[in-house]
Amino acid sequence: MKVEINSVVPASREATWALVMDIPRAASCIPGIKDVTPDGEGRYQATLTARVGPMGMSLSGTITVLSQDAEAGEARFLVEANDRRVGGGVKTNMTMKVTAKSPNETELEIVADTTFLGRLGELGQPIIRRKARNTLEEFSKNLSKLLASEAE
Amino acid sequence: MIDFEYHAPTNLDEVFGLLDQYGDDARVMAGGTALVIQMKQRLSQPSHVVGLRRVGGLNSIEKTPEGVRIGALCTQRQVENSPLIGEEFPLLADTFRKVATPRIRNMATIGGGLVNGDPNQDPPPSLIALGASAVMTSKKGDRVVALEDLFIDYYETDVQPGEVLTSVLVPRAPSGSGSVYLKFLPRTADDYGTVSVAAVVSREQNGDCKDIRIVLGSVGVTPIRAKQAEDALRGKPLTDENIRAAAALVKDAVDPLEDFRGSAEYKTDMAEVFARRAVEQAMAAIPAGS
Amino acid sequence: MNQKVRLKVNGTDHELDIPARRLLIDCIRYDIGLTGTKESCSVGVCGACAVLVDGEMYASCITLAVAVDGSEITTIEGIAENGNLHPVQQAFIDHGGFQCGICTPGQVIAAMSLLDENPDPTDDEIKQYMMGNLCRCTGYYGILNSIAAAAKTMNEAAGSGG
Repeated sequence: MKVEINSVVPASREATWALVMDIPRAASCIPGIKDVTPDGEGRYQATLTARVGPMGMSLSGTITVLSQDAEAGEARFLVEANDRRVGGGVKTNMTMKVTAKSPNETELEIVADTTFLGRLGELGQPIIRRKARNTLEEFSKNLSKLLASEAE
Repeated sequence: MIDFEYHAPTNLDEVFGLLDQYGDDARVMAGGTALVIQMKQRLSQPSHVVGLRRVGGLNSIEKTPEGVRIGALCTQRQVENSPLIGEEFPLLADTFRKVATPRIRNMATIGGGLVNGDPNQDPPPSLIALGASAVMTSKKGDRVVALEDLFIDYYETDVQPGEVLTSVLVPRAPSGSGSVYLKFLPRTADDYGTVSVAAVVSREQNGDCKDIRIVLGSVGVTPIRAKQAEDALRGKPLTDENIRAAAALVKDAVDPLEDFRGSAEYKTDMAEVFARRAVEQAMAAIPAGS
Repeated sequence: MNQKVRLKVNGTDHELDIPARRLLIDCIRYDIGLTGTKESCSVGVCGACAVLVDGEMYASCITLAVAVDGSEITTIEGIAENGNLHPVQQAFIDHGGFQCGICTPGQVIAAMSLLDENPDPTDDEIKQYMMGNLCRCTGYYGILNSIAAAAKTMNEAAGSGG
């Protein structure tokens, strides 16, 4: 399942890129995430609590930086997480791209392609899709807010 | 089902104590028709279940100066068959009669159904159309929430930690009101609606629309009040043309999830059709001479 | 975790030590050993598992035994008296109320529950009430005829003071 979010954030391309590549800080913008800790080169561990319908989940897993190209302003990540109690998980390939719009405006493009595994895959696709989109939108908004607060 | 510990408190203070002690690990259970299925399917896995069956004082239906107070543990069948409800709130009696099957209505409670937050259920649209509210009780006392504001997201409600929904307050509709609950059931009679609509309408002396509420179920992650459609009719003549134009606005208010009952597009179209019929039938139900 | 549950099933007291997650259907069938009550859909839709809990019809497949601790349960085994079938049971035999039989215990319990509430139902009222009891053989007319006949028998017996 692919979700694409485009937004314009109130910061320079450099500042936006710096935030995107500062994984613990950027990840803190994902609703429900906590305990982001380094786990080797380009790899981080994290836990995420989320609710989908009647189901409360605590996903724990890793964020891996697959590639980063500062010049092109594009980075690729792999997020893999599982919930042992519910018996399900997610695997997301995410691309983030930053493009300068003006000296203090940057276009942020997020494309996330997610596979739902186990019990999570059994919930209705429409509700999962809506939840995934909401989460990414929230993430993008929070990144924007964080950048705006830094620009002040 | 994952095993758990069952608690059978006999009063609300014990309930609050258990909720305090176990927090997120506890789920409150009334009739259990929704929760037990969620637990069987492992969608919900509480370590502690706090059963309300033995808590006294929560299963009566009483007349109040404004309307009626329905205890949260009243079964749906109790509401359906209550002489008081039948006489003063025929919309509610009819709505509860349309819930699932008699057996489920024997078990499921009005409060349990509301806090489950399933957007496909029948009672919320009718209760919201009547302007009902829920009394949330916690150690700190009572908090009254308009049912319109109770539903936040798919299966998510405004119930705060430590709170229990203890009763539902339903104000009497103004005299001269007509109401209806329509449930579009193309599959089987015990199913959830593909689309459902509750409408309550009252008229001025000159026949214009005095007030109106239109609330839809099964067409979004929560019950949805079609405010734009209501605004388009309030204070206007209730002509076919105006009703059609207002019903068309319902399409913008809904945001259905696609499922085996139909595509999002189909449900959106049906929402318009059934909203129009609901307004027409609610008008027709206004008592003669008012 | 195991918890103590007391149930009076068809007039006999049982004190059980069972996990909180035990469903009433499993408790009745496996802990108590009364296998007349059937499980079919397991989600409260089909009516095969219907039993009476303190006189009210319940779906035992979505009821926790621990939640009805202290209740009186009536199952299909408990409705004949002194070896005489209940009039609803007799009517199902006389009027072809069952085919394969798996839904029958639930149909009979539901019909009793209906006639207890409404001793002289119209055909439409019978259909409305029985809509929650599915028959996979689709033998619905036999079931409806049986219930109408049972109502008649019971009302005649009541009328004659019997």
